[in-house]
Amino acid sequence: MKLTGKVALVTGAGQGIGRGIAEVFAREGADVVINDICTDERTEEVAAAVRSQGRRALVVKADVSKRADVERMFEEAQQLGPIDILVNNAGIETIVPFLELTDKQWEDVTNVNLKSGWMCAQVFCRRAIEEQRTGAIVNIGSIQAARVLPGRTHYAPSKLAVEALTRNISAEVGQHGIRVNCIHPGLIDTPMIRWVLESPEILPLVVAQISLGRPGKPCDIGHAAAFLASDEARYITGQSLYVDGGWVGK
Amino acid sequence: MNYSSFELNDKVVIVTGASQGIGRAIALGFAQAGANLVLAKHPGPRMAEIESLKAEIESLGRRAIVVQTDVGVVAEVQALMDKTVAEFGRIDVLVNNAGWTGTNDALDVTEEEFDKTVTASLKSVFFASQAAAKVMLPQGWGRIIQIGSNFGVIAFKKRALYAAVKAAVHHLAKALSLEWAHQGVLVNVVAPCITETESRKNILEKPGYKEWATQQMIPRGRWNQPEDLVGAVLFLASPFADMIVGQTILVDGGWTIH
Repeated sequence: MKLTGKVALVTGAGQGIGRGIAEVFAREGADVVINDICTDERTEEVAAAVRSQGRRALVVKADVSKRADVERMFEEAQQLGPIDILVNNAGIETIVPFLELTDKQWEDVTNVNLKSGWMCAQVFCRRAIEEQRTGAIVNIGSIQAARVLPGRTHYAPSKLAVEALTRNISAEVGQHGIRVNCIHPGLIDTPMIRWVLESPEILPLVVAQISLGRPGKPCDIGHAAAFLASDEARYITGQSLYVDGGWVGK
Repeated sequence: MNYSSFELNDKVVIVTGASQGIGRAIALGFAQAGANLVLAKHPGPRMAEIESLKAEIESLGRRAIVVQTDVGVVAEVQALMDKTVAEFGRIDVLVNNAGWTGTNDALDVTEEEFDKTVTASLKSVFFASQAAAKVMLPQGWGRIIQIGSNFGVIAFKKRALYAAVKAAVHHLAKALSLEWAHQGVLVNVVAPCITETESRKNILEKPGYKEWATQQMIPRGRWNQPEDLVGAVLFLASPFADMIVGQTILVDGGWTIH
């Protein structure tokens, strides 16, 4: 699982799962580019956590659903050296009943959760192939790629699409030594779902679906991402791994 | 490869079918990660190989015992667990790697071949998991890792029976996890594609086969080596995979996505 000497770029790393990934990567020896749509004391905290492991950190503000921002982000990220690992983690979730969902709501979720991953992967791979460097991409999907939660007719398809994106990119870049895999997190203790964890009505219903009977932590996703990005996973590509405490099999 | 970062120091690990190929590589990987090994091996040839593996593990400063076991016989599987507990006091990890399959077209599969395949590759996995879980559940911690196959996900000629058995092994991981996960015993699968081992030589050496597979089927562009699986197995056995339950990780260079 060691990522010693690698440089990783994690999108949406200001909080939650992205932060967990950045922190685990630093512990495993990687320097980390911390991207988020807004940079503030939260991103500085993540950078401080990375530096406390003796690794280098760089905060880059960018809206990864916008092509120009993505290009600029990779340009700025070069300050830490060529990027070896890309984690497409940035995402948004809204809850809207299907019959009320607007075009704008569909586009916002799809652009941030799906188009961003496609664009970041494309820029990452173009640069790596041009410079004849190998690399690894880890995309973050969701348990909702396989299980229904109410009001997610836009969110769930965007996350299942991440799985197909993973497969198809892996097939085209495998010959260049770039591996692409996906993690589908289950219920993870993050600010994005704090409302679920704090709801005495909803929490028991969700936890009842999990074999382990408890939510996971951001570092659980970080560990899986570190493994998939590491040389120990050198023959694993195109795969999607559920890190969900046993939800999808139940 | 340095496996020390998987935090498996002093774990007690059983690997079935350990005398060659994938099983051997996995056993060595655990030893390099600091674990002690119980090497289960079918009674018969290759005793010299298993003894040399034992010596190699001991030269790494780890302990190893060899237990001759026909994993298709429930009493022998139970004896394997008993010997492990008698020697080491516990079982932390079980890797069900041993297996056997016929390679006939479905029309030609005999009852004998069916029974032998199901016994060696499914019954063995079920009862070894059951016997290990009886030790692991009172411990409150255990990891069972089944070696599946990409043919448990996709179909392949002359492997109707094998594919069905491996699909059953994959699904069994989910079913067993449902019963045991909340008590700390997790069951997952590592599923390779055909791996460059002694026992697969006859397939790999068929004219044109390797070129077809590595050029057209595998985006990674090279053949699976036994060592390629080790990382996934160690990861699933490690404390870093505590939320991974009932999953199948394909280690196939991308073959199966096509």
